[in-house]
Amino acid sequence: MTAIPSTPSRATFLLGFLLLAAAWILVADIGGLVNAILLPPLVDVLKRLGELILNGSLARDLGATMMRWAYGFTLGVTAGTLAGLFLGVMPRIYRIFEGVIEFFRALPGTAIFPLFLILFGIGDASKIALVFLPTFLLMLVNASYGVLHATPERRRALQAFGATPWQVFRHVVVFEALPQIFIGLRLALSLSLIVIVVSEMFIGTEVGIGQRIYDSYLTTAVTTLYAYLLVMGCLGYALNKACMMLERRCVFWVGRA
Amino acid sequence: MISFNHVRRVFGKNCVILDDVHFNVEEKSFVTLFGPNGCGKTTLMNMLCGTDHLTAGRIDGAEALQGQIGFVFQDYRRTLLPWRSGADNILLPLQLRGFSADAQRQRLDDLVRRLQPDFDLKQKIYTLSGGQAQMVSLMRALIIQPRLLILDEPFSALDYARTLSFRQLVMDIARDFGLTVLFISHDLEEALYLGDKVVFLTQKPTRVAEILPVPIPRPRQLTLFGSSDFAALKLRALEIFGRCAGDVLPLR
Repeated sequence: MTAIPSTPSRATFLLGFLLLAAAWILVADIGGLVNAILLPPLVDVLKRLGELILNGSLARDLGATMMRWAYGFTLGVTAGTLAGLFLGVMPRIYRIFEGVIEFFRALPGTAIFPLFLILFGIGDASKIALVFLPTFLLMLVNASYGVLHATPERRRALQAFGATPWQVFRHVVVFEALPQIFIGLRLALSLSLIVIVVSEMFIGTEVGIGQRIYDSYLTTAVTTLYAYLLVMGCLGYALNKACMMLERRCVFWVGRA
Repeated sequence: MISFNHVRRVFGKNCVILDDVHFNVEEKSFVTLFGPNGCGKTTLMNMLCGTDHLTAGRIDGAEALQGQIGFVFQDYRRTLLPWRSGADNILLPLQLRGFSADAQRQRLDDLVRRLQPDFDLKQKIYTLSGGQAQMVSLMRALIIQPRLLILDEPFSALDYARTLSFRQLVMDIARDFGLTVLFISHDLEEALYLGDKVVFLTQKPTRVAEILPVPIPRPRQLTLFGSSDFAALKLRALEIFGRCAGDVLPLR
């Protein structure tokens, strides 16, 4: 397990974005070096983004996407973590299901789309289920791995103090598994965002970022497409950052102990 | 107080770790267990604590001691909880037993007054030095006010200066707290210096090779190492150890 790398200074952090924006402006806005269908001017994209914010369509689409994602992600994290902790403390049962878990993990999320369409229909349920499954599996594998590879000496120490199995679980096992649970959480976060956007594109919906991106592609509304990509990039970045902050706060001892 | 009666432990079908281990630990005595690495000393202590089971034999007095055994482990870094502060680590055995917050605080204050650790117990474990972390480990063992204190090679990860001061501290604690101590060591001088008697264990399958009484009065000081009494005792111990270790030791 490695230490969480330190964050760059605010100036260093902003410099990267400023350089990217400068390059974009230079190539697309000033130089006109690239066809606007491939890369529209940054100013036009920002203007379009402003319109989407003001007319409320961004909030509507973003809200719908996030609602579906939040349901699937929360359910997946909760169920996957609990199941993983349970299987971790029951290694015999874990070994029975290890092959089954690996089988489902090996299935590409997109390959399950048609099956979930049949099972859950074209409404929100299928999209939520599509987010739930990979999240659940990632959390299950990482939580159980965290428990199975916990330091045995700490458990034995607590047993020597007369701790019950539940006390060993509560005071040691959960904490020992936390770093690995957070690894699962960050992986699940990235994957679930991909899945929710792709599921909206593939299955279709009235409102949702994935649907808007796909519509923009079909109508060659490139500035709108870029505006939504900017939003999704910012959203993914913010969620990942929040997850890292939570990780630093919750597993502060990792890399130090 | 405790009597190990023909204790046998077999792992799997044929792996005999302990075979007919037989010795007594008297009330308020300081007994050191000396034997080669991997001979099953820790297994023996785990059986005494009830976290491992015997294949044959019995340990008389173990049941009466349940809940009254303090344990200091060899690898303090891996047995302390890094997500807790020093104080919270010390209080853990009391929390497991459902002590109230007031009772916990009272016990901790009392222990701090008696041992006077020279660092802030509110610090997290990973900020402590090896000696400070082992002090936390020792206080965690003492917070339950044990009758028996088991120390499993507690100084093996400490530097020499810390080891010397901790040896003295453990002897003082044993005397001041009126404790019975079982001290596991693989350092012969340490075993002789600390113990009222030294139980020599053989290589696997482990038996008691001999029990050597240490008739040196207490309190003991470091100058004891230079005395002729200690040198004679050490020579006797080396002879016993030579028989335990077989061909490994170039004594002749």
